[in-house]
Amino acid sequence: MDKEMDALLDALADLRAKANANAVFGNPVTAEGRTVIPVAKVAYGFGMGVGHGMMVEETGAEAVEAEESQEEEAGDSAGGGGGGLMAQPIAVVEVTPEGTRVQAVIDEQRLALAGGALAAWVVFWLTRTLVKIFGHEA
Amino acid sequence: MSEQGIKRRHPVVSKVVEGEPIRVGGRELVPVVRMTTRMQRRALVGTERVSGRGWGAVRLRPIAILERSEEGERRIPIRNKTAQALSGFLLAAFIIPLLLAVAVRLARKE
Repeated sequence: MDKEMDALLDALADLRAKANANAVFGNPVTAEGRTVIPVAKVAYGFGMGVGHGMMVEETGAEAVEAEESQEEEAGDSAGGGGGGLMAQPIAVVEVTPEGTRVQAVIDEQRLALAGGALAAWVVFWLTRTLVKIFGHEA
Repeated sequence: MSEQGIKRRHPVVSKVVEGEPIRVGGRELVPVVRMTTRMQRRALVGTERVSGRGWGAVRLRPIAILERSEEGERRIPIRNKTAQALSGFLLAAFIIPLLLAVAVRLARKE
């Protein structure tokens, strides 16, 4: 059981150690006189649990009466864990002899989905408003 | 069955940290990142069982890059344009129904 608990605490301690600022900046790539560094926002998490159950096995009713202390302890241990990591590119740092600049990376797919949802929302409210105004007058 | 629990909840910690400098062509680029961490661990000790569990989450968001060269130090902000646009959409989704509700009230008064 001690080993499992140690593993749990080690993993939790390791989490902070891994969370350093360098995780969001990728390796610089140099080509044709310019260096590009990808930048992403990163999120990760994990959870784990361990347990140990002590099963008390009685050797028999008669034996218990005869010898109360004659109990055998047995148990099982189990544990599990899992984690996830998400990295989303948000920009690219471009270094040229002229200077350094940051170019934003736009997630067009997410924006298109959100824009579609917003358009549907606006159409819904607009229709509702028109029905309220003109339906009331009629 | 008696059980005694030890729960250790770490508060949400958010701080701005600087990463290791990246050297590119005589310039030094220092990443500046906002790091948010959250952890919790719990142990239960009972007569029939002993258990422990824990979870943690870390979010790293780049906010700027510091450019150090012979000319001096320059801070270049890194903006998440996608998140900014999505925030704008969300704001519009709240404001539009309010404006339309005002329009309905005005139309009914007339």
